[in-house]
Amino acid sequence: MAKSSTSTLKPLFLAFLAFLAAVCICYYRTTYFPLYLREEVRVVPDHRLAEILSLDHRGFLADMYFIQVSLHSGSLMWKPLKFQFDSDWAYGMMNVITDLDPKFHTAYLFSGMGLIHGLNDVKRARPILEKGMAVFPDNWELPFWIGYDHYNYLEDYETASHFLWQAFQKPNAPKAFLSMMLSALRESGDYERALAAMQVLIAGTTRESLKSVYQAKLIQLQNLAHLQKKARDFKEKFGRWPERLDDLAAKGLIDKIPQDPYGMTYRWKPDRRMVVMEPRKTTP
Amino acid sequence: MGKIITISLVTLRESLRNRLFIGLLIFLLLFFVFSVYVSTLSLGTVARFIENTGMVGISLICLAVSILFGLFTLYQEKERNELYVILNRVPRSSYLIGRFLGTSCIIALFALFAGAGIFFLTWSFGGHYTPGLFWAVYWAVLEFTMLTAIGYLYYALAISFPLNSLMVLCTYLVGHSMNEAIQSFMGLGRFGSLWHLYLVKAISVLFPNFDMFDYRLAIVHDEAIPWTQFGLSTLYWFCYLLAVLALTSTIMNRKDM
Repeated sequence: MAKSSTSTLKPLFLAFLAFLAAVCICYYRTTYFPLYLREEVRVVPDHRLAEILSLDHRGFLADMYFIQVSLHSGSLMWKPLKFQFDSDWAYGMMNVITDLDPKFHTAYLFSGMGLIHGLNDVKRARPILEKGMAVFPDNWELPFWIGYDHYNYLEDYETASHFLWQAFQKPNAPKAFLSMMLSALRESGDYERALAAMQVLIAGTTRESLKSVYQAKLIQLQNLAHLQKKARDFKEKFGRWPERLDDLAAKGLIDKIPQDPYGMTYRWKPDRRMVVMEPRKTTP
Repeated sequence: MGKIITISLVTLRESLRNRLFIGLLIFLLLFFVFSVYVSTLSLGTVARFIENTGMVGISLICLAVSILFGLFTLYQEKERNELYVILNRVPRSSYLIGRFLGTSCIIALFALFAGAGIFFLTWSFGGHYTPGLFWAVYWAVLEFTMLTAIGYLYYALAISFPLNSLMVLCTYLVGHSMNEAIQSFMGLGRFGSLWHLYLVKAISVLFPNFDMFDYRLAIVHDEAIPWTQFGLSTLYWFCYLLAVLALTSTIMNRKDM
């Protein structure tokens, strides 16, 4: 009996020693020959080739590619600075991902949100988000993110207001981005739409103090919209844009330049062909 | 009919007793763990990732069952000379259909296990209730029973087991590339000859077209599959399967064993 237990223990002890040796070798290997981070090989596969490779599990392949792109984008936070975001590859991959699964909503959103690492990425994200807009015509988030990116990163208020307005028109669009849209519409000179948005903002406000502020801003927008419209009438009538707002009064299109509720002055900007407001110049 | 049922029940019982059964179940469980792990990298679309990974699991497990239970045991029976004893008492076509039905039951069983597992994981981890996943089980059963029948056809043609497995895998790959092949030739536009297109179309019609059973994206996106497509795919499966089994029976009956 004793012999039998010794014969069982011996190989077990040997196995334990061998395992211990393996662990030590592994530790030695990783300590003295550390692994260095290397640039990954990044290739954008042809979407048809990817479809064949997926063996009809296109959703799964799209998910795997998505993980690869999101890890590449997210891991930059802890990688050394020499590792840069590869926009061409990432957006190329997002294109393949959305080709593999055209209804991968998160992939479209991610293109316009998490993947933006530089100003040029906004331009790269736009066609992908527009592709998503064709698939999800009733979705407000996709046009919103194009608008948001153009507003915040590129300060391209015209494009921003165009897409934010589109997002605003969609069913279930929240009112949370109304203020940003209003700002974009005002900056781009689209005062009529800004007026409509302001009216929605007022209708959704219950606080009286805020309502009175919005009412004053509504008057401001009404003034701007009125002046802009008259400037367009001027162009139609005389074949040229006015040089200053006084031209409108001089030609009888308006009685006088309206008073701003906040004491701002309205001015015609010939280069942008729009009425803008500026703080009134005070004499020292 | 009685002999067919007896053989299919024996096949089913043998498969359930086989150690491979437990091995494949463990593989399935590991795949479930993998699908949950993958879903943690999903940026908020956990259910979608579990569903997609799970459907890959269904395909892999059914492919393994087709080859290991469907074909390997068939060759094993021949090697042990049990086949000749059975064929003395049972007509060859009954034997073939019985074996096929037994293997189909095992495929259905595994697909159902996998489908139920993914359904539960999607529900508990993704918070998404997707009974549509059981349609993935249905389409997987159709796809892999057809593949098993093709494996039986290769068996009847006296092809050895390794080569048969390889040919079944190739059939699987080719069967899933039919639509892409046609699209590629159409994509050639004015550079592609019309005859080439006809040739590719003819091949895609003659070869098993597993794209007929691909509704995975519709399942993931909770879209209803039109009844006409459902009917056409099921009818295609039935006709193709009938043709393959009839051909296999004929070859088996004429073969000098």
